[in-house]
Amino acid sequence: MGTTSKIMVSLATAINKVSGSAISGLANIVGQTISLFTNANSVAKSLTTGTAQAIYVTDSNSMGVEWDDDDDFSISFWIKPGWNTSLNTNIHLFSSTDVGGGVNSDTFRMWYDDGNNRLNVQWRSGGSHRRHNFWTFHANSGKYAPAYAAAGLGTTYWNSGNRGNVGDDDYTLITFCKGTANSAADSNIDMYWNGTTLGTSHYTNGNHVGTPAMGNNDKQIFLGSSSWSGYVKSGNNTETKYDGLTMWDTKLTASHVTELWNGGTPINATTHSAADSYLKGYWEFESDGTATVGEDMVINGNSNIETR
Amino acid sequence: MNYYMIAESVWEGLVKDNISFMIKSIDRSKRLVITSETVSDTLNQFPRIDELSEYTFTNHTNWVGDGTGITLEEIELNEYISEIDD
Repeated sequence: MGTTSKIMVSLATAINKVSGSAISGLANIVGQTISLFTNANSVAKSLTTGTAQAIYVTDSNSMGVEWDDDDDFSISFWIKPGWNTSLNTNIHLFSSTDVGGGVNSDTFRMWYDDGNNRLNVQWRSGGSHRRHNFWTFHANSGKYAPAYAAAGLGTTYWNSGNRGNVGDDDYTLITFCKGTANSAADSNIDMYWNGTTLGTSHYTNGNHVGTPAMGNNDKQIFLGSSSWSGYVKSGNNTETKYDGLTMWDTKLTASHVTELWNGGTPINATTHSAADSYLKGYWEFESDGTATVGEDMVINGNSNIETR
Repeated sequence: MNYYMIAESVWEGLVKDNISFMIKSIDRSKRLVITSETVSDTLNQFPRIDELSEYTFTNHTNWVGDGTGITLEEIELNEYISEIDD
């Protein structure tokens, strides 16, 4: 598109990227707001643990993310791993718990198990009341082949030296989508690597213990650590970077995720086709933890904003 | 169940269907395993699962790279699955 001489009546919602060309002039824009989207920075989670080093938001019940076990929702973020092959344990990527609560206080969490090369999800209201499932990346056979292909990690593990299929600046978009059932069965949950589904989860019917009975209390939501006492499991080696965290009050579809992935270039999530109806939290991490949608995040200690 | 630390060479001879948990050491020379099989050629044996867990906290430099350890719940959740031979 060389020249756009006139846009009338219709609302031009977004221009995500102009590369290699100069915009020489905008002659006349009448009565409209221009919002330019830039994405130069992200947030790096300190390797040091505890709330004093955490990235988190304390929800005060205005965000609409107080989901329970039979709510549908989706969580998506860009991640650039900083951990190395010596991690050999879990790193928590996203975690939410009732405000002030422990691990069993209506927790939802996503973590990568470096010892086994698995991306896990779990929600729980007690040690004996939980739902769990995972996807693994290194087995190029049977039901595991889609995850192998989507991640592009080969037969080894995900880390800073092997980031697999990535978008701009070596970031991967991870998106988890849950349906309305209180079930981690494959039929109720989806996980995406960039814009591609990871396919069938390991436990076809979910790994179920008891029956979680979660409430709709306010949440404390942590990025890059667990969300309860200790606030641990933040990786090793170098800081892992996160960007563009979004929380959606629906189970996003594959086409929704493709739109969010945008070929690897982050979009302004407020321009996403599902945003008006379902986007409840959005943090861009350009200059601080200010929320574009939702409530502001705190970025503590040595966790900080860095260039992507 | 039996709780062992074994050398990598011993791992190859174990019956994988009997194993419920396994983690390699960071240098990949040893493994901690939980198995129903009785193994004689071990580097260490733990009487209970919680002692295996405690061992990883006190010897984390060999097993866990972030200075923590392997909790009982992590052992339970990260079950060994021979099908994908983690």
